[in-house]
Parts: sequence; C-alpha cells; structure tokens
Amino acid sequence: MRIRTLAATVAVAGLALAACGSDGGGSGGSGSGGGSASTGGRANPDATVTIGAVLEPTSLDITRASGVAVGQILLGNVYEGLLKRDQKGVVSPALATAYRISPDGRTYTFTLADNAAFQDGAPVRAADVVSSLTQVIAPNSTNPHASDLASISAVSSPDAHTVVLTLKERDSGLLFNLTGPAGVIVRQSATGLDGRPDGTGPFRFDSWRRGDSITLVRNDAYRGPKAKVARVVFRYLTDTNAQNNAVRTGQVDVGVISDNDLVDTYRGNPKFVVAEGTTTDKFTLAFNQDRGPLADVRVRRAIRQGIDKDGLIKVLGAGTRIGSPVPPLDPWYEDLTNIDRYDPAGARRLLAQAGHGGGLRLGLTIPNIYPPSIGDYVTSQLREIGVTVEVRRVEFPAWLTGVYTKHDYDLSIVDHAEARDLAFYVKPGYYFGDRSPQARDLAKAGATAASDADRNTALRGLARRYSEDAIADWLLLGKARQVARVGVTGYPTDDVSAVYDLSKIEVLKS
Amino acid sequence: MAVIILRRLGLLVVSLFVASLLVFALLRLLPGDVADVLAGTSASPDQVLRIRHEIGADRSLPAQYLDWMGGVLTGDFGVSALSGASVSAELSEKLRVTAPLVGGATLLALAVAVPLGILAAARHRRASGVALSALSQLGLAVPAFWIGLMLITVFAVDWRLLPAGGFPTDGWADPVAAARSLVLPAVTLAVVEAAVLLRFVRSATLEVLNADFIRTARAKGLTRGQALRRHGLRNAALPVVSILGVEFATLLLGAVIVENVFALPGLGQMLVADIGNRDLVKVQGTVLLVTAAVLVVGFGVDLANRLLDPRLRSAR
Repeated sequence: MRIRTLAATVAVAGLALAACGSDGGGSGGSGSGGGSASTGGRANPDATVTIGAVLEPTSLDITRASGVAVGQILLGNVYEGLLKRDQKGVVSPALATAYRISPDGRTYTFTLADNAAFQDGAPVRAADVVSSLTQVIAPNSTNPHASDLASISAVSSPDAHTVVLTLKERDSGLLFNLTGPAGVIVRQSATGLDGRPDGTGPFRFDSWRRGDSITLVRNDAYRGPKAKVARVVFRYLTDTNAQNNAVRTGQVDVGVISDNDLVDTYRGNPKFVVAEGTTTDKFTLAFNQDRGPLADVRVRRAIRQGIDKDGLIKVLGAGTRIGSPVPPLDPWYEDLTNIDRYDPAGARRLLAQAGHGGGLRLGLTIPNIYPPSIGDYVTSQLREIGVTVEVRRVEFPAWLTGVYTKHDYDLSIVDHAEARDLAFYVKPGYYFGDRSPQARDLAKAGATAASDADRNTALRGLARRYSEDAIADWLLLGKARQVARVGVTGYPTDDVSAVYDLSKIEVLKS
Repeated sequence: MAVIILRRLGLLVVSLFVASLLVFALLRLLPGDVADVLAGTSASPDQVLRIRHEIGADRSLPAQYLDWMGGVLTGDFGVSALSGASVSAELSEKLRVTAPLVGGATLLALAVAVPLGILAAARHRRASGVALSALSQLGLAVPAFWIGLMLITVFAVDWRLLPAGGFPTDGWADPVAAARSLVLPAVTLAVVEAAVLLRFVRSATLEVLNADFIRTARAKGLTRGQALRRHGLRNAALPVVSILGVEFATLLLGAVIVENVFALPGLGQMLVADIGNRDLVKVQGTVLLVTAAVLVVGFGVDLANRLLDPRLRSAR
C-alpha cells in the first residue's frame, strides 16, 4: 500500500494543502534542497514551468477563501501586502517601502512605493490600502483570516503616500500577519476577484481550468526584479500515481512525490533532483477535554506516552518529532520532545491511577484525506497500553462540522498546517486547547510583548504549558518532498510560511 | 405510435422531477456544511453564520429547492457556493472532456464487441469461440483502474507514445493533442464495456441461431451466414440495444474512476471534488444532468427497439 507523505496530503487549514509546498535551502530540512541552487547556466526567459500540486484551491478570491492552497498560488506571486515574508517567515517591505512603529507600539506608519501598479497599470493608491484593510477588520467581515488583523482599530491615510494603522493594543504578530492572506491589497471596490485575481505582484493571473490547472504569466510591468520564466502552470494531480507519472514523463517539471518507495526510484537518477524540506504541517492528535475520560490529564499523558512517534515516522517514511505545536524554525522553538516520552509501562501506570486499569474505549475521528496507516498505527500502539480505539474515517467537511464545530469526538487527528498558530489553542470554543487563565495570559503576553525577547519567552512558556498539560499529542512535523527535472531550479523546497515563491524559478536553455 | 411516444415523454418528465427531488433531499443528509468549508479553521462562529447567510444556505429547504428548480427550468444551474462560478458554464466545460470520452469508449466497445460476439456465437463449438468467451470473462473480471494503470505504464511511461494523463490546458484548441489524451482513458473504459457487450451479442446471436426461423431459412437453401445476415442480426440486435441503454449509466460511473486515474478534468472528477467540498448546488446539478442523460438514452433505446421490431410498435 502506498503512503503519501503527510506533507503532501492536507491541511486542516482548509481543504487546501500544502501540496506544493516549500522553500529553498531548508535549514531544518534534510539537505539544502536541489531547488535553491542557481543554475549558473543560461536561463530561458520564455520558459513555461509546470508544477504538480495536490490540492486545488476551492476559490481564487483571496479575500474570501480559507485554507493555504489559495495563498500558495497567489500570495507574493499575484498579490502583495504592505509587507512580504520569505520562505523562512522573515518579513521585509513590499508595497510599503518603509514603516515606522510608535514607541507605544500602537501606531504603524507605512510609506507606500510610488511605482506600484495593479495589472492594468492603474497605480496603487493609499485609498486602495485603506479600503482593503478596512474590509478585513469590519464587523461584518467574511474574510476567514480577519482574526489575524483583529488588533487594528482604524486604518487611515494622512496623504497619498502614507497609511497609518492604529492598534487597540500592542501586537507582536502584526507585521507577520500583514504578510499573510489577510493583508493583501486589492483595488478599492474590486469585484469578481474569484474569476480574475488582480494584484500587484511579479505574476499576473491568466486562467483557471477548474479541476485541472491554474496558469500565471509574468508581469512584465512589475516594479521589482522580473520573474525568470514567462509562465507558471500549477497542475492539480490528486492521485499519487498520476502525479508520479506526470513527473516521470515530463508533463510536470516539479512534482510532489511523497510516497517513500516512489521517491527512492528517483534517487540516483541523473535526470531528476529530489528536494526535501521542512514544513509547518503539524499532525496533531487532539484530545477532547470536555467530555469523558480525557478530561483527566493522567489519561491524556498516558496516551502521549503510549505512542512511539519515531515508529510512526518510520512507517510514513518521513517527518520530524516535535513536542509542541512549535516547529523548529519558529523563533520561540524549544525542544520539548522529552515531555511524556515513549514509555508504555508508565502509560499503563498512569491509566491505572486514573481508574482505567481494566481498559478504556475511545473514538478517533480522522478525515479520509490522510493515509489510513496513521490511524492504524495509533490504534495498535494504544491497544498495547489497554486503550481500545474505534477509528471513524470521515470526509473533511464532516470533520469540520462534527469535530471542529460541534466538538463531537474523543480523539481526532488532523494536520494543522498554518504557520505560527500557537494562539489558536487558547481561543474559547476552539475544538481543543488550554482554556486556563494562565494560558490566556501567556498568549496575550506574547501577542502584546514590546520586544522579540519578551515575546519569545512568553510563547515558549505557552508551548511548554500545552505540552505539560497534554492538550494534544503532536505526532510529527511533515516533510515536503518534491522531485524536479534537472535544469529547473529556484523552486521553494521548504513550506513554512504558506507561500510558494515563484519569482526565483529558472529553466535552463536546453 | 405518436401516442406511445407522448406517453413515454410524459413518463420521462415525471421521472426527472422525482429524480430532482431525490437528488436534492438525499444530498441534504450528508454530514458537513459548505459554509464550514468556506470558513476553514480560523473563522469565528459569527463569520460562519454570515457566510451561510451570504450563500443562502440558511433559507428553508423548500425555498432552496424551488429556487434551484426555477433556474434549472431556464437552463441556469445556479452558482457554486465555494467559488461563485456558474454551474452551467462548468458543466458544459467538463462535458467537452467526458462526452467524447464516453462516446469514444462506446463506439470502441461496439466496434470490438459486435463482430467478436457474432464470431464467438458462430464458432461456439470451436476453440476460437471458446477462447473469445474466456477473454470476455477476463475483461469483466479485471478492474478498470488496473487496466488504466497498466496502459499508462506501457504506452506512456515506457514507450512514451501517449500522454500519461491530463488534458491540454487550452482544451480542444489543438484537436490532435486533445484526442491523444483521450485515447488511453477511452480504451480503458472500452475494455470492460466491450467484455460486457461481447457476452450479450454472443448469447443473443446464439439464441437467434437456434431459432425456428433460421432453420426455416436454411431449409430454403441459405447458408448459415446468409440466414444470419438476412434474418438473424436484426433480431439479435434487440437485446443488445436494450443493454446498451443500461450500460450507458455504467459507462458514466466508470468515467468517474477513469478520469481520476488519468487526471482528466471531466464531469466525474469534478463530481468527486465537489462532494468532498459539500458544494451541493454543483453536485445536484451534475447528478441531475447525468440522470437526465441516462433517462433520455433509455427513452431513445425504447424508440429504437420499436423501430427495429414492428411487433413492439403496436404494443403498449
């Protein structure tokens, strides 16, 4: 049976999935990724690059669609925000050339680039920025990422080149969030963004054949460095074999190949490069503390101790062990893998103390987009410590309604793919998490910290709390694996910031 | 005859109406909600309510049904809740892949099954006839997706003769490229179909061969072949045409699998994706269209049988 790499399978963030995800140089990944090295030879500026992806966006209206798939296509490529992030999550200027933060951290003043233009040549005006951001923070906003900018109370423009954001309180995550889907600048009173995304980036949208492909073409009027290829086609190949055949026969130049056995067939082949990178795909075994035995921290800890994460990584062929929802590349990462290490005997003791020495039955709900082996592995591991698990495989929307919205579950496994999502888990009404005032205070301290050091300290504390309180078990951090045709370079190999930067992709003249 | 056609047409309309009700109601039983899908995992519960209102999913079910049917009667299948795109436009785009695929597979299957089926019947006591029979059994037993994978491995990956999957992004702008990408999928669909048809053609022909009127024809001095051609085939065609109507539904179902194996952007692939996203307006439009196609084909088969067989023309 084939197993897809988790990284390639999905994101809780939407139906989206980090299919094509990733970036250059993967410091956290294994190897620097064949993708990032420059060709050194002569690049072909008229080339078309075809990228095999797995999950298609459900809509291209970035102001309305959830999930990371739409952002990977459009963010930074077609749309820009005031600021942008690179594949490592580092923030730098985009539509704003400079910004100033007031000492109390509550006023952000952005100076706009004076040569930025939408794709028909209309200049980007301060009014476009004000209307874009105001729509997101409006009380009746349907932007699914509105909470990213919740700290903003007002957006104004004192003159044509300046935009001022006024905050309710300090927000240490604001700059990063402005680089995300909530921060994109669309034309004032723009309509029909689904059919015709209209941005300011190095590519312009060309066409979308639903169920098949999305095509972008180079924006030759882009104010910055021009893209190095004329066209990029994202082809959606959900089926593992179809993706593999497309790579092998040259129908796509870069493809997501996650299956271990399939990846091995490309290694050592002089025509292909295998690129591995790190992701933010946190495969999370969530515990429902609101009902039944999982309200008892001893039961939750027992389950964590009962699952050998290294064994699962071996079964799936790739992945990194993490002890909290923080991936190693985040500034507030701390190695917490020693908390509740694999210890079946200890797990049985904890269960006995909690009064479940005679055994325990729990339900496990998993969306059917993930490989069945994950649920099978967890089930067989927990059987060893006397916990009988009944697996329910459901479609993703059924998971969203049943588990995410109605909290009708004991255990659940999904991939939390979003970057820097630590604060999600203190939200009241989230489907699992830490609802204690202490956790909320830590999250708040992190969000409103005056310095990076303070922020990192608070968020490190929060992650440790999550882990010690066993709000969930983090099974593994997915790996992104792509196979590219030799001669194609500059594609992202890591997938840590929900963007897929196309601007550096090059194709060698053949 | 005219009365019968009118009566059949009336039945067709009633069936379509009942089908639309069933499709609409059954889809509402699926767990999961498109508003939750749209909102994803970072939106607040208030936002989900607003989204539900915006796409009209908070209206009563009868109101939603009437609204949908009202549109369908004027050829407007509504818009996708997820992307806001017109369902009619997408259906016609996908049909440009699925219709040639299913049509091509049917012709291919007929071209293989009819001559071989007759041959298998004519030689049913000889080794070649038995071999053909066994071959059709094998064709029935092998799943379509496996045949597809094998064809890809041989013709696309090893020999590089045909594309491994997909459809040109500019559609039929280049007819040769588009047709090439449909060859392997159509063959895959046709293999199973041909196996089914071959068995029906064979048994229908065998039955005719043993019929009294063939014996009479032979007694008049015709050879077996002459008797079969002049009197037999028309009679043998009846059950084959009927089964072709039934098999049309099977072919459409097969297209769902084959389109996924070959990454073809057709109706079947879209249907699977839409169900996965709970985009019910699109799903019900697609299912209704397919149901209508099957019912219309059934109607056509009925008429064809009456034309082929004068005895049926006066029957009720």
